[in-house]
This record gives sequence, C-alpha cells and structure tokens, in this order.
Amino acid sequence: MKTTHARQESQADLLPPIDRAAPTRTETATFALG
Amino acid sequence: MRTRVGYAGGTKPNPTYHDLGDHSETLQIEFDPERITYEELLRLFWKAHDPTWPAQSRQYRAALFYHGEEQKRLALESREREQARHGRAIRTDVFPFPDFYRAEDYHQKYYLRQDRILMGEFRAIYPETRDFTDSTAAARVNGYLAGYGSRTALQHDLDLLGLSPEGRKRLLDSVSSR
Repeated sequence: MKTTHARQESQADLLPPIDRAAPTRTETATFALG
Repeated sequence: MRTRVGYAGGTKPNPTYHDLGDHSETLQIEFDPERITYEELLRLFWKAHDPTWPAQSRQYRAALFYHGEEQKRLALESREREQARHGRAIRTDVFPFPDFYRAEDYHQKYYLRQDRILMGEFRAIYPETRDFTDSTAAARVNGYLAGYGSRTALQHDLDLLGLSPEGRKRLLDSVSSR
C-alpha cells in the first residue's frame, strides 16, 4: 500500500499545479455559441 | 475549470463532425461555483454572441442547455434581460440539458494543438487524450494561444501551468507579440 501511495504521489507531482487542486464540488454548464 | 467541445441538442446517437445529424456544436464547462458562478458564465455567454441573429444552421445555432431547475431559472431570467436590452426578438433558445457527445480529439484544445512545442509538453504530462482534454492547465494555455487573457494575467498564471522554461518563454512571447 505504501508503494502504491508513493507512486500516486509522484504521478500527482508531475501534474501542473493548477490541475492538482481539484475542487470539492463542481457544476456543469453547456452552451452552443453559434 | 475544465472545458470540452462536443455535440448536443439533437436526436442522432453518437454524432461525429462529419455526421452531425441534428446536433449543434457545443461547449461544456465544468466549474467550481466558489470560483465563478453560473450567472457570471451566463454574462460571458450573452456577450460572446449576438442573440438577435437567426441561426445559419442547426450545427452553428446559439442555445443554452440548463442543468437543473436553478440553472433554468437563471437562464430564462438572463434571456429576458437580453430581450429588454436589445428590444428585439432573441433567437437564442433555452433547453433542458440533453445528451452531450465529446467531439473528436483533434477539435479539443485546438489552438494548443497547433503549437508543437507546448503540445509536446502536455503530451508528456497527459499521455491519455481524455486527461489532456480535461486539464485546467491545457484549457488555460489554449485560451492564451487563442488570443484571450493579458500578459499580466499570464504572468500571474505562469507558475501554475506546469510548463518547462522553454514552454513558459514560448507562451509569454506569443502573448507579448499581440
């Protein structure tokens, strides 16, 4: 488990910082803009 | 915020760009309501098109697809405000959210895909196309490359986007040159 956890952490470290902070709640909006 | 383009509003199952049926080209946004509200997105939506123009085709019509009763109320209220502001018939319709079909990969983050260097960096981070498409960093870089956002805003964002020194310089240069 420790190894898996460490691997997950190192993969997360590769992500752009803005992608690491997932919001706790999201909503969806859908538009057609012509 | 995550963005993706696709097809919605029609009845044809599994539409594609070359076999769209009665669907329309659509933008879907996944957003954090604590960072930006649906009302703010509606303001941008109305600003981004002329709602008094009749649609040239079903593929390229303007429409609002609401998710839930609260979005329905806000969407209809915003449409009424537009009607009053323009004093003319509004052609942009409001519908309940139907199915959404993601567009083909080559349509996602279109401007970023045109930049071989920056796209290479994102490919290395996100080998899976779906993860790349859903990346907030990719959406933001795509927006800057498409001509949106100021140099000041980019300087504020630069540490958040996961780019190499070369990638950062390239993006800054593209924003500075306009």
